[in-house]
Amino acid sequence: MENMNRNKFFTTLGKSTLMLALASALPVNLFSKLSRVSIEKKIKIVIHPSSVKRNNKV
Amino acid sequence: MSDSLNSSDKKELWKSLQDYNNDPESLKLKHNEFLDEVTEKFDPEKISGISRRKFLALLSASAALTATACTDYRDKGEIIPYNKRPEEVFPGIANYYASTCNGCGQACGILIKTREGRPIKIDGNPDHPINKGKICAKGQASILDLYDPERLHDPLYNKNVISWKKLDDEIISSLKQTTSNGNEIAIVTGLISSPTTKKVLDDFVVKYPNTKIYSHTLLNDEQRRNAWYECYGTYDYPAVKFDEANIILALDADFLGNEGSSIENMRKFAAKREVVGKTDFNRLYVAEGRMSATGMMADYRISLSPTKQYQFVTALINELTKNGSAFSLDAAAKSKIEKFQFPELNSNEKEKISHLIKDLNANRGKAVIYAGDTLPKEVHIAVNLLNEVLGNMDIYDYSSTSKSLVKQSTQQEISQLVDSMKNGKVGVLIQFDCNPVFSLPEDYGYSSALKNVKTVVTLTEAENESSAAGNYTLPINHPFESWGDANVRSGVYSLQQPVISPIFNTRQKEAILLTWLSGDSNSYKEDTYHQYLMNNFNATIYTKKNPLSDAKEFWYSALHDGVVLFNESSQHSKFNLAAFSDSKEINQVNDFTVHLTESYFIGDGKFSNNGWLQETPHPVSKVTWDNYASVSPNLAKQLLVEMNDLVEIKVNGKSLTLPVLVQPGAENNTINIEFGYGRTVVGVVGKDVGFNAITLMSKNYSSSPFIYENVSIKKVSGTHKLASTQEHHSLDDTFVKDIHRKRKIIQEGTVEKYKKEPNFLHEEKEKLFSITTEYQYTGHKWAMAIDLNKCTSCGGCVTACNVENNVPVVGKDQVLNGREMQWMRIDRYYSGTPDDPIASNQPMLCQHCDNAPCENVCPVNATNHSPDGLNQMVYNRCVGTRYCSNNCPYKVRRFNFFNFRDHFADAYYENDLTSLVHNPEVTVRSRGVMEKCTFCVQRIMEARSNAIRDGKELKGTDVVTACQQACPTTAITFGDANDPDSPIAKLRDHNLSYHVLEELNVKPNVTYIAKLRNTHSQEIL
Amino acid sequence: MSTVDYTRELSVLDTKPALRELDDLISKPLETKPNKKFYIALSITLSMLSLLVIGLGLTFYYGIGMWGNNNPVGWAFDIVNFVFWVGIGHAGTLISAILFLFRQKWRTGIARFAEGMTIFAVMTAGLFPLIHVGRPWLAGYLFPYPNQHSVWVNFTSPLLWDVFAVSTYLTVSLIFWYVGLIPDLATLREKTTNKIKKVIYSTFSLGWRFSNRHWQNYEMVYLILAGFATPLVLSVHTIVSFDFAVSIIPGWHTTIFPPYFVAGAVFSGFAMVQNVLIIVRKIFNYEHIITLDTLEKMNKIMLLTGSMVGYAYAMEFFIAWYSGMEMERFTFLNRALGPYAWAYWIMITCNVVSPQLFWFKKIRRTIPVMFVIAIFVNIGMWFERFVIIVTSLSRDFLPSSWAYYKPTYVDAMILIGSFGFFFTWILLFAKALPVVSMAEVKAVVEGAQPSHKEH
Repeated sequence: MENMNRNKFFTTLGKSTLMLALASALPVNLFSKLSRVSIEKKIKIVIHPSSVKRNNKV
Repeated sequence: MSDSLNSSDKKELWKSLQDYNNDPESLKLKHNEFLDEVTEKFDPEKISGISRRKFLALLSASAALTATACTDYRDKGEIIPYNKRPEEVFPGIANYYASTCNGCGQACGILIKTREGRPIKIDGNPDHPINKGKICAKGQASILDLYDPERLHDPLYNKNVISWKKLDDEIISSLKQTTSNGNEIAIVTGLISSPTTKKVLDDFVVKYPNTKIYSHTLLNDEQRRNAWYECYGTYDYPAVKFDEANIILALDADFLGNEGSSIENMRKFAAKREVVGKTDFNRLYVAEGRMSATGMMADYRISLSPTKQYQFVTALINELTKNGSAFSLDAAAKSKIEKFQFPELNSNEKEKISHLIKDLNANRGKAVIYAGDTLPKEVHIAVNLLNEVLGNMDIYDYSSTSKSLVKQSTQQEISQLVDSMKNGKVGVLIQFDCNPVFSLPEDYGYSSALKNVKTVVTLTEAENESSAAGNYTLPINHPFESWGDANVRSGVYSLQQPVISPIFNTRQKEAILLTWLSGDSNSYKEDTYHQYLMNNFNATIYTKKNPLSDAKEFWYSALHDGVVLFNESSQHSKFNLAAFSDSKEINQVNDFTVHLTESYFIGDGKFSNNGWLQETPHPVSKVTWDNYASVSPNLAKQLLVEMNDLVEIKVNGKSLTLPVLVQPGAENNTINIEFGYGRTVVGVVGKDVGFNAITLMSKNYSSSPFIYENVSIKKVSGTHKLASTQEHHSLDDTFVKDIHRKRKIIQEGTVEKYKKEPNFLHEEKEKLFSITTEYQYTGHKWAMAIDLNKCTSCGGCVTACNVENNVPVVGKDQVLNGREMQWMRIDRYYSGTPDDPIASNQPMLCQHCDNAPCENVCPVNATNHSPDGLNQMVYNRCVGTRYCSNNCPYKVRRFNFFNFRDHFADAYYENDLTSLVHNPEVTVRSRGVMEKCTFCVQRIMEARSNAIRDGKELKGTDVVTACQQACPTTAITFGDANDPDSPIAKLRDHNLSYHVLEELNVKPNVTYIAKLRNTHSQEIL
Repeated sequence: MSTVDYTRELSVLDTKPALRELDDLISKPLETKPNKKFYIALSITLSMLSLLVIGLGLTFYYGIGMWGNNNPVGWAFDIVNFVFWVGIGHAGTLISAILFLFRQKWRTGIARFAEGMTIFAVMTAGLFPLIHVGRPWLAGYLFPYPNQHSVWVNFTSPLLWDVFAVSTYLTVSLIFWYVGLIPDLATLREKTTNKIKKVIYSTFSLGWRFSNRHWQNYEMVYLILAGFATPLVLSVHTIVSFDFAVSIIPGWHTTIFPPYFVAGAVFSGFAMVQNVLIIVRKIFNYEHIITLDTLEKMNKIMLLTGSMVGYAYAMEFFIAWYSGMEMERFTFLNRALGPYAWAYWIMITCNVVSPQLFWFKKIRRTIPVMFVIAIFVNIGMWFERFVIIVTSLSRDFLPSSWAYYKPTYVDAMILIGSFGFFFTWILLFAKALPVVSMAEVKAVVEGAQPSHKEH
């Protein structure tokens, strides 16, 4: 192996790229706390049960 | 497997030669299709539970899960299809509910359009006889208040959240205690337009006999009512048939602007300004101190100080009685009248007055003199007499009188209340959906007296000055969450129904009172007031109307229609001449006068936190986000001030510093300021916007609470930039004078000229030809026509467009930099002299030019032309080079310089509540994208898909744009220009039609109908 | 009494230096470490550049609203700067290509530097179309790439012609400049002792062997590229002027713009080149290479183009009046008398009045005076674009839309920053590559072109 350093360099590079690519696919956000917050304060829109609507606008 | 093996049959299908020859071997094989052991060992129980279908399903599900893992699922908002769809809702199809508007005291009928349960647009109720399907700018924009993020969510006691039950218990005990102590329970309200609310109040008084009701509204017509009472014995005055009057004289009366039932007035007035068909125009004379929207519509306008109106009217009576009188005058009246001559006027105005006198004489019985709400009672009495003298009684519409359900409290009554408060004689004070701390003049001492009241309860939608001064702040339902009714005009009973359940922990204000009335906090139910209203309806309306259907059905049909009509005509009674003879004489004042009037869009301050309304430009000055002192050019020169300079105005020891606006045509000694601004306890939108003109008011006024003398005004150092959407140039500046006429942007004529030469507008026109083959529009070709005879610059179209198309509010600093985002604007041009200007209004929107200059300069093809004549804007392709806007000669394109949804007031729009106001049919534009009027393409598409669904042809008249729908005078017509029978095609060919900047050959599709002024001459200037 | 001898061709260089001396002189800055003055200069330009970076960062983050642009003035500093920098680029190409075709030997001392300035100016200019759009991350939409929406760009739009023109200009200028550099890079390769530099010079000199064949091919390619580049001088700024001439706004919609803009571009370009050259010759001691005669000739070109620009101003005014069109007349009167009159009169003083001083030979040959005049010319030319763009937009057809434009601090940062960007590149260029073309200068030394006549 003449260029041991060169080979090692490129294999390291390749392996780390592979790891990064796989790691980026992990669903981390599923478990993170930050994305929960917005779900809580939902405004509930409820049509008033006693209102009488028109069918069309004429 | 076929068992009928007949070896000698001729075969049609065969698998092999052996098969064909019916070889015994192959026959045997056929019989045993499966090998021997297969079928024996077949045991359904042993097969794996997963069928092929299920396996594939699982496979795809796991794939989907993986796919989801790859997405960004931060909660951007969920689109969840209905699992069980509520009966009411069809996703994508709007529902309409009839209700009543609470924007002002006129109680117009509205239709609330909802999508998926959310109200998104307000339109007028076509069945309502007063507004007939139209609603003003305030009504249009009031939808935003429902989604105001600064609305109160929960009841508060001294700024801390308290539960309803607890506070109900506490207040009931306070009420009971006050009653037993013999102290007063004071309920202060605003204008009560609902008979059922009145009943609640009356019932309250019955239960708690120490209760006194005080009603105070800043903007009221008490002067008119009191005058009517003295003259005719009733507080209810009739409507005016402006559609039958040949001559109208308006005295400081903005009846086409925001006074009284302005929607109705505008419609009636426009009926006699019709150019399609016969031309039988009315003539409008306006005598006023400020320049109002009505003043801009005048054929003849006289600058007259409000303090001189009394003299003016009496002088008119003097002059006109020389030619006889329909009403016989006695000696006392005559001697009084003869004292008055016309005030000092220049020759120009003397000529107008002589025209006026001639016209009034020639049109006795077919004219009307109408005085404004802010003028003193004495002027109204004189005006009533003048109408009597001229015999104009037929112009009054007694089938529809304006009712007053709860009389405004007098100055004495309020002073007494404050005294009682100061002396600790008031145990509980309830501020019932009003803002007296803000609207009462300071010298009442109301707000300081509040400290002496133990329990101050405020029922309000949002925090205001009054709630901040009290202890209990109770959040009430927004009108769209409320039940109610209204009966402000005789013969018209309109209903209000909620379209949405209360979003927050709020309650119906009447229901709160009813709970206290019952004495038990547990008696409150969600539909307490609903039941009460229904019962009252059955007791009063149902029995009166006595229809064939039963009560329940009638109730539902009334809710459906929104209005129940009766015949409640009254009669004209005899004029009480003593009212005039005994009335106080108002002498003219030759010194400065302050005239306080209602803001066009903020009302009495209730809409301060509504960004759309704050940003709608003032009809006359085009100023947004501020009020100002409007002074005449001469006065400005005298004071050495220019626009934006600050002046200090002192009235009877009270002072106010505010910026100046130089208003051409204003009377030289009149300073006009609008109310409603300068609120301090309000949301972030309205806080510290403008200057509080109420500081100049006093409880002791000489003639009218809105007109003050003993005024000193002087320039002080400093400036306050007024954010106006148009530049203000002096009318004396010859460099820029009358450019709108020279460039034929505004083309006008007079009625005289039109009668003599109907084709005068088109005489000099040349036919422009094209060197390329033009596109032939064979299908629909959408076009619009705007009749400038009818446009009063009311701003209804602008606001409707804002609501329909999700136009963002940008804030004052951006308007100062010319970045307001309104797709439609109303340009106002002046010509003439600074003292006697002629104002021209012109709504301007995208002209959808056939040869659009914007289309060929967009490098990315983001704007192009549709085959039905629309200039389209493709938001997702636009990169924002702004070349299109540069090349647009009309400058109707608006660029999103920022993400205005999160730029304005710290991301005011970007919250869960306010973003619900958006119309789901219209894209919400991002930063860096150009936008403009689309001729409501979403409505065109909706009409088209409805036509397809119904299997009908799409007609141009099926499409109604938002602006067209909102315009009270129907100045805007829209439709298919290729349909020869449509109204739009007729208007395009009208004698008076013209296009703006026609010579550029951009071929705009918005036709303007030239304004005809009904003066005696043939020339305008 | 002129002392010019017109019977013989004027020598380009003042003295007759040995060829080797020229090589040494020109490559000296490349071999020495940068001195303190260089670092001071670089720190100034880098801090200006950082203003650009901050300004652009703010703009990208918040939006175009950070600038003063409004409705109706949709274009302001952004496009003024764009046109300004594209204009400056034209001088370089004119000097290296057109003067080459006209066989003006005096260009040799300045051609390399001018061409380099062109490239840097076009790079600076190229920033602006990309950053002035509302959504710069979608600036790719401006390029015609095949996509699944089947949407092409709009070929009738002048902005798109700009895209093609400027990118063509940059490409051709770059290639032209690089080809001219090859012999010099070879010279440097031979001279240098630094290992890394040797590798770099070897790579970029593409194996130049100074052979006859190489020279022959080189001269041919150079001629052809000069031929390519020449029409660009006229066409690129013509296309840029079409941004305005093709629109309908009064003050923009006029056929005089193409020649007017080209003349203005040459005018401002020469002024900028002259300014920078005066500094360069002083610092690097190239006074006998970039001679006073050269500078004087450049000033004459400035006088010519300046007069053309002045004539164009007068013609615009005349035609506006002659046309009888109220809107045209108003636009021009508004420029001189309206709210932007201050800008207009700066423009007139700097562009029309100051170059006329170059009629005087004394002034033409006095370095400090010509330096100042050239600065005025640049200021004037910047204001010319400002007047054209901003005044025409701020008061156009409908008086209800008129508004006044005021720049913001971000606008100023980007303007100053663009100068920083430009000068940083120049400083780096001066230290990395020979600013004078060694091969060409050596070719015009007396006696360098042996001919039959001389013997």
